[in-house]
Amino acid sequence: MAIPEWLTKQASGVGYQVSDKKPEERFLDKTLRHVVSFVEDTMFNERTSSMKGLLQGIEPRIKIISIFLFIVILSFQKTVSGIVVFLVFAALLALLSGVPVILLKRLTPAMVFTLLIALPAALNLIVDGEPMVMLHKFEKPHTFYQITIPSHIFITRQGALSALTLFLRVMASVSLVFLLTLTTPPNRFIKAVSSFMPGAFKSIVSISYRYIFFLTRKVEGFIMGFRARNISLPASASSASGGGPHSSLIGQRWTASRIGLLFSMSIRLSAELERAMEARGYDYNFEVKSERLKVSDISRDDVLWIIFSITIIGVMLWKSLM
Amino acid sequence: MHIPDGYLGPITYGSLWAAVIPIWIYASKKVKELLKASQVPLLALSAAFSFVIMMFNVPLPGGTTGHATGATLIAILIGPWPAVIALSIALIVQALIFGDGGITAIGANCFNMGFAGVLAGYGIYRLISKLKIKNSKFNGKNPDVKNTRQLIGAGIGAYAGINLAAFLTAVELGIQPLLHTGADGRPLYSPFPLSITIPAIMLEHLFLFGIVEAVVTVSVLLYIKKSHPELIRG
Repeated sequence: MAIPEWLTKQASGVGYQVSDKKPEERFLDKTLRHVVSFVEDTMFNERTSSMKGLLQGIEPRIKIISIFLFIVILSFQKTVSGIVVFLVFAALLALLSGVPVILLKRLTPAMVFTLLIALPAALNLIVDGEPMVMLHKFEKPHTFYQITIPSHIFITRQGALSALTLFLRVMASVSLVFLLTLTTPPNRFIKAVSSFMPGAFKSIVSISYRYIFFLTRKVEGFIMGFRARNISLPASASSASGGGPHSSLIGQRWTASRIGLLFSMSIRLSAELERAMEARGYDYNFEVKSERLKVSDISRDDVLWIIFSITIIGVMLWKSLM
Repeated sequence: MHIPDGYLGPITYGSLWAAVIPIWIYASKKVKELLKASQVPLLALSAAFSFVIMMFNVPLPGGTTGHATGATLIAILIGPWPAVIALSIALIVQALIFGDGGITAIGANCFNMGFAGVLAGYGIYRLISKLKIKNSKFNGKNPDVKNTRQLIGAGIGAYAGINLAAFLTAVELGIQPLLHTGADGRPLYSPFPLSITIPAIMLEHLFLFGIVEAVVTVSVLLYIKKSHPELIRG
């Protein structure tokens, strides 16, 4: 049986394309990438938090307080060596929790972004100081509008140290936050976070977290539906809508209508949720009691962790104040 | 625009935490007064909605894309104080669960985007929607004229709101070399002075993200006015 002619033809135009040169930059792909990475990250956290390891065994509320304090103490460190202590500490925690590779993978985008931000600070254009490496010499300084480019462009000792300090500080902080999320089941994490919040915030945070997934799935459905409908849209058909198939206007209209639809969905859902909560006797008096941390919740590992954390925090605080 | 951990020194992030906590307390009180008892599901869904808005990429002419925060849009749809709460919760969840924005910088991010951006955007929207211009065709009780004024107000409000938030972010980052330096004079946190942070952050917001924010706000309002007019307040 011969293959029908239409099946062998390549699609002449794809409705959601923005640019022929950079197909990976299509706005729908970007949105979908956000959605997929969000769901993937959460599923990954679910998996890594159920592994056996040091941080996985610590009570989430104790873990949140200790990691938060580590990040605060880290922010007081003024020397590279002080920050490196925290970086090594985070690496050790990752190893003992069985997540070093995953942590490194998660850190990579932040690492690249922070490097790009920090590197220019090494130049005398940003931080003046003692020359370390000469990069370029102009005959004379140049002035563009109010910005003056000096005749010598070089890396300064102070600038390089400043860039290194920023890079290491951000990496250590982000590592600690990722360790927290990678080793705590998302639901328990949200429950623990909301236990620190006042009144109705507890319920708002836990409900909104659940519905973020629901709405995210809807966004995924919108994109898949749009793709399915426009997979082989002839140029003549779409040009009627003004601006042709590659017009950003079509994309803007589509995005606006989906956000609008999502809002109406949210309002409808909140009304349904309100009725369901009332039917179950929910009291809206802003006094939702959270589970208190009882002595029976604290295990031997938690006690050891608390002692260890207090020691680290005390030593580093003392060192930073010296 | 989310400031990560490590860019702000303790004085800055501590002050912004101190500034944002009374704002949250006041916003909660206002929400309690303004909304009926069923505020919990509405606020929770609004927080989830504002989280998800930030996932949408919007195409712009030339193949560029950007994403909106939806701050002014949410303020117009559910009111300014509920929007402060909803956006703050979305930003807190982003920082804690997804590492988007720092934990120590939660105060700064919530102050910039969840408070200043929201109130400035909504304030300008209200001002323009109610504005009376002498002998102008934009006056009168004609619903179309009222609609046009509201849409113009929403667009300008959204543009101004996100730019104010960006400006505050630029200032907070830019003052770090003035506040925190080591013994040898090197900056300890964000090393870039105001002369760099302001143009670097403001240019992209004035010419890209501000436009995206305005486009999203106006187009979503247009859609809701046509398809679900019952959801528009006032």
